[in-house]
Amino acid sequence: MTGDAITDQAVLEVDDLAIEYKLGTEWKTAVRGINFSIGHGESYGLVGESGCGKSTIAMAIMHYLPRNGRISGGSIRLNGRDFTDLSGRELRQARINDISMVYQDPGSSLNPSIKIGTQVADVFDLLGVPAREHRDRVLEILRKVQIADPARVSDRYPHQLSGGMLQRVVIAMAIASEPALLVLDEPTTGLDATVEAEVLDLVAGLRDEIGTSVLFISHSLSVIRKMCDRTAVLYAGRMMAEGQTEEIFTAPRHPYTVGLLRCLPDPETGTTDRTALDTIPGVLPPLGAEIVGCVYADRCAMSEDICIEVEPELNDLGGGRVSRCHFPDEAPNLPRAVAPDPVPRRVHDQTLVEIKGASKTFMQDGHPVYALSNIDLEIHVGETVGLVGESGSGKSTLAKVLLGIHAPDEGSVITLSGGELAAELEKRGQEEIGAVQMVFQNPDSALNRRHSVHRIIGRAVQLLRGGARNEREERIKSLLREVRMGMQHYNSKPRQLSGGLKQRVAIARAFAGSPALVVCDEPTSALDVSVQAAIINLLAELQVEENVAYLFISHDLNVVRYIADRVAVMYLGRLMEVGTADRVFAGPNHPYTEALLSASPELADHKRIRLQGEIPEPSNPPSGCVFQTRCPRKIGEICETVEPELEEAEPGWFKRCHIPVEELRAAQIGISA
Amino acid sequence: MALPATSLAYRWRVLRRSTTFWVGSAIVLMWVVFAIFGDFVTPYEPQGTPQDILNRLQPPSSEHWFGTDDLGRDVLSRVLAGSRRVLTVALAATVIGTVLGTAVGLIVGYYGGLVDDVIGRVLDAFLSIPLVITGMLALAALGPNTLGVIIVIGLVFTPIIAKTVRAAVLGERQLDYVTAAQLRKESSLYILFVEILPNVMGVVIVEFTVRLGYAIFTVLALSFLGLGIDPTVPDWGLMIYQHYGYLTGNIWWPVLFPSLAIASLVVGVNLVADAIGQAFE
Repeated sequence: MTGDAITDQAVLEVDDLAIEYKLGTEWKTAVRGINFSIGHGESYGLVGESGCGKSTIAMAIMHYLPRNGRISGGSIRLNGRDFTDLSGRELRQARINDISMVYQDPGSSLNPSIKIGTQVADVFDLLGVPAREHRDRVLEILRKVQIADPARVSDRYPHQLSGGMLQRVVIAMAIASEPALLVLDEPTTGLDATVEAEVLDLVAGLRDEIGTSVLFISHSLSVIRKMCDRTAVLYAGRMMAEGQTEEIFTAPRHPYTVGLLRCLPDPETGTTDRTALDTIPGVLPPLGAEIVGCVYADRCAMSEDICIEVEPELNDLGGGRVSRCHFPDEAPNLPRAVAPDPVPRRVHDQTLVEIKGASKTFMQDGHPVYALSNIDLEIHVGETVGLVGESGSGKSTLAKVLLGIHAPDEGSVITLSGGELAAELEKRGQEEIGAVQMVFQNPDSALNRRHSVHRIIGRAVQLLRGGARNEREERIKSLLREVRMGMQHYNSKPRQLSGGLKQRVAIARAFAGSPALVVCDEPTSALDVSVQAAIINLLAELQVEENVAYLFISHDLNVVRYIADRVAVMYLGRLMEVGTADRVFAGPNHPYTEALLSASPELADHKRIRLQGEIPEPSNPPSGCVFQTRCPRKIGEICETVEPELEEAEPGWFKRCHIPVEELRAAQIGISA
Repeated sequence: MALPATSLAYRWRVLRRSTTFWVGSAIVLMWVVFAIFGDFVTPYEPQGTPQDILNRLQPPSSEHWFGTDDLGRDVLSRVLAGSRRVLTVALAATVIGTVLGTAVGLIVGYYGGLVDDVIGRVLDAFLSIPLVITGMLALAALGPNTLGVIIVIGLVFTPIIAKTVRAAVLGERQLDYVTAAQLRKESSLYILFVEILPNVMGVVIVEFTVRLGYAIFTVLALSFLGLGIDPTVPDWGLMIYQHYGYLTGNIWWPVLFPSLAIASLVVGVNLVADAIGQAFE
């Protein structure tokens, strides 16, 4: 992304901004000394982990700070006008005309009981557009955000639309006034990768079209990298680095940025010689902590005495780059926290779990919903199978059928080490239950907040492993050691633990009964980048120590590529492609996989493939190949009439597509060249 | 910015800073003290002595601060001693209603489906009948006795509390810790009472304090109507019932003072309920 639209006049100027929150009776500083400006048509990114203050800054700009928050210093100027000190009427006018914000969850930004068209029309009403023009303007703006059938959408209620469609509507409302500044706070978090890519493309396109300046807030380095001209990296309420986005990411000059980037799996490293990811040890200082020196010093591997004693200035490195570090030139040589040792692999060819012809039909208001259709999948001892697909593709249903939470339809067979598993959980033996366990996405939801660590793990040990009391105590302690947790957490409640520690407790619980297979359902997507790396490392190490197999469900293809030995791609309850990770990520692929890969911000180095329309209803799947309604490579009538089999097109590589692999190869290599 | 977790300790800290809570608690505590130690505090025998009849309907004076009633009994003593009955009956009724309501709410919320549909409709049907009328009908059928009042109010409160608890359980049931418990084959009873119940305890406590206020009012309303009374103990509702006819003769004290007592106790309980409700939000 180039910055050629930038002119001298800044749209937004933030000068020495400080914000405090009142906790109990004390005001605690959340962010301080924030300086940045956004030029006309410029896209500016704020990136950092949770608690760094990025959303706080956005809220302060919008005057949306909660009642216990206040701006305690500095100024915010919009188009040269002081924006911190506005009367109620001026603020209202500014929100109508000059500044708009898009939030993370589009569902909560829209009124569930008012039709889309009416809600969008309200915006035009505020802008003073006469009522008779509302309808046309609504349709026009919805068309602008690439909603194919604006008349139909405007007649719907929010719950009748998908998350991606809702976010388009919210964006349409935000840009209706052609605001000077558009604030986007994690606008694609929680959306599927394919939808995320579309929304990002849309925002980039709109920015070129109407010339709005954008303040883009995200925890995702790859999204920021894709969307922003300039970027600031925040940590503990301080700006650590700022500069041209490409430079920040390709040649970082602050140890925090260096560390963050090393936490991400590198698409260049393959799966066979995967090495441990680097992590950032330690935790964020608590809100309002009095730190004399550098706020990052206690987590920085290259910190010296001066870092603890004196806080570094934002050192000017030239070219508009600054870094709040005493040793910016040495940052690229930051010592690693984790040695880049290869993680030894011990994949066996021996089959652990075999799923044969598994289907699952739910009944909804008397109508069948085909959530899973004829799934055949093998998982070998000690291997990781990555399961990918958009939401609604049946990934979680497959996991739940495997775990016995949902009983599959008649005729489905699941075997574990050769023995058939009962469909219902109640009929499975305690040993079988202990052998197949699960790590959930969100540890806040997965851990009972009223129970202690000891109780959470202890209960699982008691039921899944048994034994005398002192044996169980030993087991709890050894599990805590295995997930690298200290005994000081033995009696802690979940709320006393950080996100990463909570997920470790959840992992320890899953390993209580020495499982042979652990289903990991997005185990890192609720975690910060630095924590995510540590959890992935832990899972990789445990896999070798315990010889456990993983069914790893994730929408983050970059992580799947890193951790998975084999990959299975699902769409509308069916497996579309199965193969080794190397094979799947190298291509050629099933057209659906091809679209998924091209939507991944980390992996997409070639042109993105835009999928038409939305995932069909599983209650009424399309005839023939279920992907034919959206397939960009549809070859003709056969796709509409005959459902292709999941065939082994190459040794160990399966695809459910009529197009021969040679033709896929020719077509896809043609595209990426 | 994550705010501190909603732990019990945190809620207690919020509560401790609430003036509402302390004022309400002081009022309630005062009545609790009178209920327990009433026998030592009352200046006269609350149930009176045969000679009192000579002294009937005396206005407030230095000897009888609140005056005397139509049997010549000291109104102050009867008001102080009267807190015992209303507090015990209301408390017992609320405990029964909360325990039953919580159990029903847990079961209905956790199992959902047909259980929810059937029991939910039954609860709705009960809720549609006005409280006092239900109580009157039931007490008329059961005959007047204190245990009857307790059971009737408890049962009338059950569906109300069950509805609130059910809503909280529906939220908890979605959380993965419930799935995790199922995945290690916990019994339903364990999941309901050890996993889910502690997480909806806040709702139960709030509901309990709110219901306690209503229970006090209902107990007194019923005794004012002459239902479920026990003539052997002082009772504010009964005191008003027996004396409101004298109001036209400008004899106000046997009615005013028990009324003020009712008002202060209900206000006190509601202040506590409000403060707890806010702390748990």
